[in-house]
Amino acid sequence: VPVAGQVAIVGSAATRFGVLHDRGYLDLLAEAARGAIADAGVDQERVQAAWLGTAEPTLAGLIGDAGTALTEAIGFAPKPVTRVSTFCCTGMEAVRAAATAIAAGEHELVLAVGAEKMRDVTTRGSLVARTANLTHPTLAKGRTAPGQFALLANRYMHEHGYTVEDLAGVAVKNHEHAGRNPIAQYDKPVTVEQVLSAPRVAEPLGVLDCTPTTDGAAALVLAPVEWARRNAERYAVIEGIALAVGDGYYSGFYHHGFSDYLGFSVTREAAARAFEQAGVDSAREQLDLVECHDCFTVTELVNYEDLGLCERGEGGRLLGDGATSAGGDIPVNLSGGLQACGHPVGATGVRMIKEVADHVTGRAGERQVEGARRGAAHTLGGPGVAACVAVIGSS
Amino acid sequence: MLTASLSGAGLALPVDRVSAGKSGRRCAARPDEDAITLAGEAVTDALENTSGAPAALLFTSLSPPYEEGGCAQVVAELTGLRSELFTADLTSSARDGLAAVRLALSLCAAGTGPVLVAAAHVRRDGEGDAGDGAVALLIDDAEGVARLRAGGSHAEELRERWRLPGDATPRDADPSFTREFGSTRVAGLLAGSTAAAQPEPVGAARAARGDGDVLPALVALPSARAAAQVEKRLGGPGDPAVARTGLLGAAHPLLRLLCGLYSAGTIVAAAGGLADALHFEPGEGAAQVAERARAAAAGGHDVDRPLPTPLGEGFDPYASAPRAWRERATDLRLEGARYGTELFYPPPPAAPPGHEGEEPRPQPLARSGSVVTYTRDHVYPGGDVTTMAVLQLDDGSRFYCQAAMGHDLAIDQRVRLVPRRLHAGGGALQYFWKAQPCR
Repeated sequence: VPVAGQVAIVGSAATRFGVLHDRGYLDLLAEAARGAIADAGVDQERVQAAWLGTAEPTLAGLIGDAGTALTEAIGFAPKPVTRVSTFCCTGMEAVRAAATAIAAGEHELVLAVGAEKMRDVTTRGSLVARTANLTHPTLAKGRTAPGQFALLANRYMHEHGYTVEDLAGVAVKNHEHAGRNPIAQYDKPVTVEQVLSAPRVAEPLGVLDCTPTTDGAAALVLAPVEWARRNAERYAVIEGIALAVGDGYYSGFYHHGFSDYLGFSVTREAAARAFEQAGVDSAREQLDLVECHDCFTVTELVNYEDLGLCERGEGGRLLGDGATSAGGDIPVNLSGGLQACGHPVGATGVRMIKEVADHVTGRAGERQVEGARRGAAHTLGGPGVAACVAVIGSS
Repeated sequence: MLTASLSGAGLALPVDRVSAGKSGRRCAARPDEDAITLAGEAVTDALENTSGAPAALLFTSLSPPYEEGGCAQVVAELTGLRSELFTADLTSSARDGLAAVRLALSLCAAGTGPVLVAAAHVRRDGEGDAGDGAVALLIDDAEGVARLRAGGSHAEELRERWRLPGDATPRDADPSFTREFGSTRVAGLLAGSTAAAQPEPVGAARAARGDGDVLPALVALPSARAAAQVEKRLGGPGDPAVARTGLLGAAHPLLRLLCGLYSAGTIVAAAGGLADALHFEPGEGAAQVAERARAAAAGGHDVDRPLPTPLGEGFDPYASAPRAWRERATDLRLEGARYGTELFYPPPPAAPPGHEGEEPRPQPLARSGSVVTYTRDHVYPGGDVTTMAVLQLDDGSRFYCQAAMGHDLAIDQRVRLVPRRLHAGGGALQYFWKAQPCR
């Protein structure tokens, strides 16, 4: 039974994203999950199962290492809750797993929740140091998350003649977009000069080229489209969704042929499958907006190319032409993206799908793309070894 | 009579040269180099143009990174030597370099097979005239660039320099006593008795030396100044290297041997009341070895001070002894898996796409290639600013590693892989290969 066209998003919610010292992991789960259920207009008792996406429970004292955390947070016993973890694709993979269960006819109403509590520890204790400290002893001798993508940035600029100013343009655009998103971690604009003068993290990337580490949660309630037609006030439809996994977390960087350091084959693979399901032949022409994984500024540029918004090598020019800004013909990351919303890893993919669903149901507020009928959301996991792409359409 | 051939020689002298007071300059290793990495480089150099697998490795150093538990086996892993190797560590005195050569002659005589001697030193606090570097010699029964023959030995209880457990710096005996009765006297005694017992030269050496000539004596002592005085008295040529390298501890006698291979002679190494002597008769190719050693010693570039970058103090990454052991071939030996014409590193657990059903063949990676891309990472907790690079090695494999400390990289730049220390996570020293620009 295919997911495409058969599964509806009938409720959604997200917490504020940011450094939320006053909120615990379970608080975030509860706010997002209950908010989505309320948005769907159903009683919690009717929700039959849940998928919980949390990527790194060690950041929050191991809470979230099993689906039981959601049970505890909202009083969901004895219903099944499954924890999902696929690096930064975690949240979107939770949605895909939940949608598959709906399409299979196993359940009628399910929750997909993504949550991450990253800032109960300092930024250095969050992911950067964790990557280096809790890592594969043979293969990761110097690896950090920013360092992996900085390798791409230098090769991309070398190959295509772009500059650090071109990279900075991504941060400038997304921070400007975030000014219209009430849940974003950062809502103030930044300039190219500020991006370039920020402390260096992994050259050529500086602090403002990087997504911050963030607390947050987001949730969706999914149902069969037939159920939505009968019961939902408004809903969006999952027209296509696909996960591609290309290699192991550590080995991907070593195997020749896997990466040319100019893009991500897993994004191209996931996009091809999701677009085929949704009947999208030309992403630029047939999508009204895109939420993509801008964990670092360079990532958004290569995502343009991998998602088929432009030819390879043309990402910097697409940005420079303004096509991906608010008001452009293919606006990207109107939410502010990971750059300004922040990136609570497990929550991000769920938030992205909610953002696109909000647009196609006319609920995106100041960010609304007028007449939006179809958009795509994309997450990228690990050093580019997994990617998930979802196409979300209006009913 | 213990004799064997010198069939290979390798050097690892750090390029940085810093001021060493009146004695000139000294080689200064970078923070990610130690006696194990320097020995590994020297052994690699020694084996480069030789065939036949060494049967033994004798590691000798006054600055062993592991005071207990052995260092030789790390050098063996880094240089791809087989695990059936006999290894031993000699780490007690500056004369141990020559003692190791003498042991190598004994092993060869016993039919063990080719023996590697790897001697290395990294200056410790309190060693004013010491430098950093390593020398490796391959000794066997085959034809070599020089013939080596054991001379006399000497042992008496007389301590000139020593350490007790926990000592950070060496203790020195009263110099007014040791100047007269210490290693200078012992070296002189040994050189004198050895000269009297010299055999008749053979081959080319006979033609080059007139009957009745006394072979020049090369002297290596814990003090460069004392060594020069004794050597002058014994008619030796003087140390051509020490003013640029500093004294290389147990490696210094071997550096002197290589630099002296222009003509037959005797080398004496002494420390306190311990001494050994070795005769050498150069053969074909010896002059080139000597020339290379002298050039390496005289080379390098002068810097104001050693590179101060700390190696991630307090960094405590994941470490697992069982895992390190399971992955030792992949790790220090850099063994990849060849499928058809493609070499994969690390060896994939399953056949990669396009190679389904094929049996992989283990193959060590090439040690040179070019930079695909790189970054200078400011947030890696294992160091200050760490340059990371992706390399395309010359065998077609892909490799991801740090740059050797103190080196910048650029895309398309040619590099070679060198063994370096990473950090001391988990209480054990972590070594791996890093990229260094080709000279």
